[in-house]
Amino acid sequence: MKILMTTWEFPPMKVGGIASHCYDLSRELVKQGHDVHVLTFGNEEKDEEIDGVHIHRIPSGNAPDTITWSMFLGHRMEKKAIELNKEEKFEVVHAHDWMMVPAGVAIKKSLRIPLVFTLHSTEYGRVGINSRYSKMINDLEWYGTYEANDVITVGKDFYDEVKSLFGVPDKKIHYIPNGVDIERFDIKPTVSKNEFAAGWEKMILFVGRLTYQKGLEFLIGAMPEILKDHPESKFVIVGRGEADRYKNMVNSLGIGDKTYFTGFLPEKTLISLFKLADAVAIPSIYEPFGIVALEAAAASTPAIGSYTGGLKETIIHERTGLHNYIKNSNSIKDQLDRVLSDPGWGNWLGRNGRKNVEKNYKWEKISRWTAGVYGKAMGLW
Amino acid sequence: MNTLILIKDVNGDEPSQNMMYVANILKEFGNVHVVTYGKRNDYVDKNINIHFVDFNLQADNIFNWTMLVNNEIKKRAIELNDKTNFDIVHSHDWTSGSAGISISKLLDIPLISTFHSTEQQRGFGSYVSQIISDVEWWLAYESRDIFVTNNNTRMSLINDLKVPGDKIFDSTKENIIKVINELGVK
Repeated sequence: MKILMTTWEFPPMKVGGIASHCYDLSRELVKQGHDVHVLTFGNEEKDEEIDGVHIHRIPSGNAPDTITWSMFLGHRMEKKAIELNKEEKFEVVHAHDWMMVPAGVAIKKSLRIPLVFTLHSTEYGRVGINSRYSKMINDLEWYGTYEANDVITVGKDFYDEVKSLFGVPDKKIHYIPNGVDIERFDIKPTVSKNEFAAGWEKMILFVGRLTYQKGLEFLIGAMPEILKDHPESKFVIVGRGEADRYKNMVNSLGIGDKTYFTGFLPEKTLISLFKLADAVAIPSIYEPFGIVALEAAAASTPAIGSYTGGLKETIIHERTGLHNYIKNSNSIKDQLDRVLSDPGWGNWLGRNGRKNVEKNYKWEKISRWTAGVYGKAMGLW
Repeated sequence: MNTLILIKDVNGDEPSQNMMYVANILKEFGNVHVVTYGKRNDYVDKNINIHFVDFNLQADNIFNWTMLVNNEIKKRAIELNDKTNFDIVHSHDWTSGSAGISISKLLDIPLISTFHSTEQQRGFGSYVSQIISDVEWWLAYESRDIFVTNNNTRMSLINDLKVPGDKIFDSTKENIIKVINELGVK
């Protein structure tokens, strides 16, 4: 198949999980014999090839906000698509999340090819529809599902959320989970534990954007009690966002020395931390998929995550990790305590997690399913 | 020579009156189709084929709404092209700019534009003015020839959008015929 994928972020630019998703998906599709072109944002126009994937970076304009930015970028991507199509003859366009709705719809209508639209999360779930601005984002998400020939959602609960929120007909909505590139985790740690925690400390890792959606405050709320029973605990917090707010929170609890805010980390360092950690905490409030649970599993580290959204699937309670009640510091404390008190059991959970990922979340499988949806959109079956 | 004209509104305002005037001149050269947003109304010239597209999504600002409506205008225009092979596409103002640019590239036909005013002339008073001005720059850049309906617009194109003066013409019958003849389309 001749596939044109549009994503606002693509490595090396990486803010959320969409960049990795598109990178892994497009590489795997190429391995399976498809021809993949990716349109993504770049500060200047540039064409390159990575692992057989044709990447085209396109700038936007002087936009006052992200919506208008995405509108203008959409137009410029469409122009690029028209130019490329003279040679390539694309068969399907695949857009990711609301920022690519303008590009996806424009390309669908210009090239008269089917549109597949993947939603990784919704504005409703992220922040709620509480302003003219977030209403417009919500409308664009709806518009994407309306214009798309087929819609992909990344979680089972999330499938239901999207279906009811936007009234998407059963026959055009699908559930395909994210995949994990397991081989990436099969490296020796490139950093020493001492750079993040003392040798005798137990490392509890948090990875995610530092925003309310990720529920870090509830983990912080659990820290003093965990430290009472397990003074050897060290909380390593990876990610960017409202770092100052969370640093103030831990400092006012007097546990600043038991936490370490790393900011953004390069991929190999992050993978090393997943492997070095004793447990990974995922206290999320809203998590359509929850890739962090699978990354922990790929590193054979047990994950303790909220019983919500995609984490309901990506963690199997008492088998590959543990579930805590959402927005509940006590519950986070109780579940972390179980793993910290019984490291052998924690290791067992971690090993099971790895097996689960190998069996169910390989990109090889996920990309075949995705190509299946392309085929449906193209009317092949 | 078949012409596709794109304009956001046909409602009797100055730009739509000018569009009708130009359309009637172009009719002497071949088929003319106008694609616009909205509903059929009393201002419509019965001698011109006007196609209205609908769009029901309320956007948070005029820029975002316009960019989305342009997709609908473009879609209709591409369908029309299946029956009437267009030789040129003519956009009126930035509000039909992105559709005109796309169609010109898609069908490999020259793009002509008419600027009735620029964002600078309109006061640059909105938080989306800069990005509107960006679209105006692109429309001017991608246009083979540009018509203006007043001298202030000509000066604004030259001074604010750095458009070469030799591709700007007053929107007169004489200039329109001259530009069409220079295109060399039969």
